Amino acid sequence: MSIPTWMALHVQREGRKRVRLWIPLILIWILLLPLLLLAAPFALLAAVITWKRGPGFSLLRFFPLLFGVIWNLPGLHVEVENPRERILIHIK
Amino acid sequence: MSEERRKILEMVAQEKISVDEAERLLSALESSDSEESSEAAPGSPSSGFRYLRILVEPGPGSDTKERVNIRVPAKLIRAGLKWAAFIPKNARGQVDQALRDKGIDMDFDRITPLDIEELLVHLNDLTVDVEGKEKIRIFCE
Repeated sequence: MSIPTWMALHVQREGRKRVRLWIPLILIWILLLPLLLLAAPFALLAAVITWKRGPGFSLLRFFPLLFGVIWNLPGLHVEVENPRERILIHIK
Repeated sequence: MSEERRKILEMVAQEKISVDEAERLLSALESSDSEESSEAAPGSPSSGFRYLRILVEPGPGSDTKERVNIRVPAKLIRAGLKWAAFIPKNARGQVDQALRDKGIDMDFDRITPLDIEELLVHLNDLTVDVEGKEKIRIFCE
């Protein structure tokens, strides 16, 4: 698995114009990464403060778990359709 | 011998699972062990299946004629399960209680990745017919 790069979002509704979007997720990661890096020291501080009573260690696990989910998103495919509408989400 | 391996072998001895299923579980266990010790090679499946598929087909009595096609990477399911650690303990108690009220005696804290693997192996190809309205098929590929 690798970092997801594209998300396809297709929406088709009866009587409306069909929407076919290809969203470059890589741009979102580029924007999100500095924010996560900025948040990391605060998360570390919060973990140390709440180590004995509170979330503590769980806060440190947040980042690897988040990356774990993001890294494994490619291949996700959700498609719902009925005679009036069709929605498709596909992550590459 | 690890606790998980012992549990799998006990299940075979008690004829709860077949030898083939045990083999798949053991290989899944080996893969997850190697994944924990070192990052798995990109794209390599960590067990016998890579995706969980859920298909909903309308039956003859369906009103909505709705079709659903979902494909979830198995690794995403495993990664998502790790988020259970963030569920507050009091909320887990409430979940357990709600399940108990529905007649399901389950301890949320005791669900292990092995249990999920076992569940998915048994879900290998499950078809549910909802009163002729919808046919739900869940399988691994």
